[in-house]
This record gives sequence, C-alpha cells and structure tokens, in this order.
Amino acid sequence: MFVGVPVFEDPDGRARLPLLATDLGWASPAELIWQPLVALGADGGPVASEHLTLLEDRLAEMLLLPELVPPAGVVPARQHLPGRFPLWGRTYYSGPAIGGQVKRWVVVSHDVHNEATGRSICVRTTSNLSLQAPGISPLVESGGAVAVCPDVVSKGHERYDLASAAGLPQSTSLELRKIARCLANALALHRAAGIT
Amino acid sequence: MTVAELLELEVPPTAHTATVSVPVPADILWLLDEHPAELGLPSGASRRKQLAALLEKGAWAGAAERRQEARERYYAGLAADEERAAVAAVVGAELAEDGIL
Repeated sequence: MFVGVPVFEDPDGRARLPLLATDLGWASPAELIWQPLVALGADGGPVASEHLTLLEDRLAEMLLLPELVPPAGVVPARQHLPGRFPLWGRTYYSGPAIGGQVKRWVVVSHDVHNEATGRSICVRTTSNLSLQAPGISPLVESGGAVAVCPDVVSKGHERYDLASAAGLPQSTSLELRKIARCLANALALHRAAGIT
Repeated sequence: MTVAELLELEVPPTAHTATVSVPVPADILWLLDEHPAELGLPSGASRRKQLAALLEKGAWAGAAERRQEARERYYAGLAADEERAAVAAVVGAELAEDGIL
C-alpha cells in the first residue's frame, strides 16, 4: 500500500482544490490517495525536493499537525453535529459495505479545507485491536477501536453518511491528538508537524 | 516488536540538554502514550516527568538503522491485515469514479 497525492498535467475541473505546481505537473494534496502499489501506474520520476517540502507542509497544514502534534500542542474546537459537510475530528460511516459491514472513518482534515474543497481526508478505523504500530492509534475511550493512520484517503462529501456521526462514539480530544501524532509517523511528516 | 526494541530508537542530541522544550520523535510520544507502564515510568506522571525519566535512563541510545528496522517489523503486522485490502479496493473504486485514479 502507499499514500500519495495525484499529479495532473491539466488542472481543469479542479478549481476548488488547492494545487501545487511541480516539475511533474499539478499536485493535488486534497485528493490524497491510499492504494496498493499496483494502482500507482507509470513512474513519473522523483519530485524536486523543494516541491516535496511544499507538499509536506500543505498536507501537514490540512491535517492540523503543527497544532496537534507538538508536546505543547492545542486541540481546535469542534463544530456541532450534524454539520453540512464532514467535520474535522468526527467519525462517520462511509460505504459501501464490505462483507456486510459499513466502515467507520475519522475525518482528519480541518473544516475550512473540508468546506472549501468538497472533499475531506479521513482515516480508516477497525475493531482489530491486535494492530499496533507508531502509526496506529487506539480509540479506547470512543468505542474500543483503532485508527489506522497509514490508511488515510480523501473522499468526496457524498461518500459520507453525515447523519451517522450523531449516533456513533466520537473521539476524545486526547485521542485526536494521538491520531495526529500517528499520522505524522505514518506519513513521515515530522518536520512539517514541528517535531523531529 | 517489544518495548525494549522501541527504546533503541534514535533521539536527537538536543534531547539530552533540556526537558522543557525537547524535540521528541513522534514514535517515542506514541510509546509514552500507549506503553508508559512498560517503560517503568511513574504512573500518572506528567509528560515532562516521563521524558526526564526516560532521558535519565539513557534509554534512547541507538542507531538510525535499528530504528528503521523496528518500524518495518511493526508495519509488517499491518500488512497482514486482510480487511485492509478489501477496504482499499472499495476506496480505489471511489477514487476512480471521482477521476483521481
């Protein structure tokens, strides 16, 4: 599996999305991809390091990592449910069902991004508590699951069941900080998050 | 992966000189959150005291290569999660529908 951002030759049709010009084309961090390596397709070669740095900074900003990750970090206030779009820090069902079960996802992109772009970045959760890694965050107080931060992806708002959040256990502030830390680990965004 | 292995993770030199504003690796923070008792740290201690206790133990000495190996072993467990592939297939279909993949 890999996590990455798509790069397009033509930015048309992406007017609402923040795009970054790179030597390979227009990178679209708001459309974060999580997929098996075979889905990657043609190798366009490495992105210039200065562009990669900008991409890392943009991703960290979208995920609120500079606010949440440092030891003296702060947790932004969350908007009230249900909301008109997926809200940062909230857990939603997002289908379709797999093996008869619809999965829960935690939204990790901030609300300004979510509202402006029509997409939200979210992390998969699972009840498989045996998973342990510096990129996996236990959600003990909010339902006994784990947030699998290496499995982070961008979804259009129509993919979320917005009404479902009101009936689901929601992560605590401490758990959201832990998720951010695990995202920094999983995506190697330590520098952009303000830690080593 | 054992806690002992995680304790071999690398730490920057500045961490040995201050306990107030220490640049702490994110995986060490995860360890402090999830396994403080196994580290032999005082229960209910503040993060600052936890870090100071760890530094006192000299527990962070280790090479970058070993840190990488430790991470790889951890993530091998994740790769074996069957549910992951099934969810990724659904997500892939969504991304394709959205014109991203």
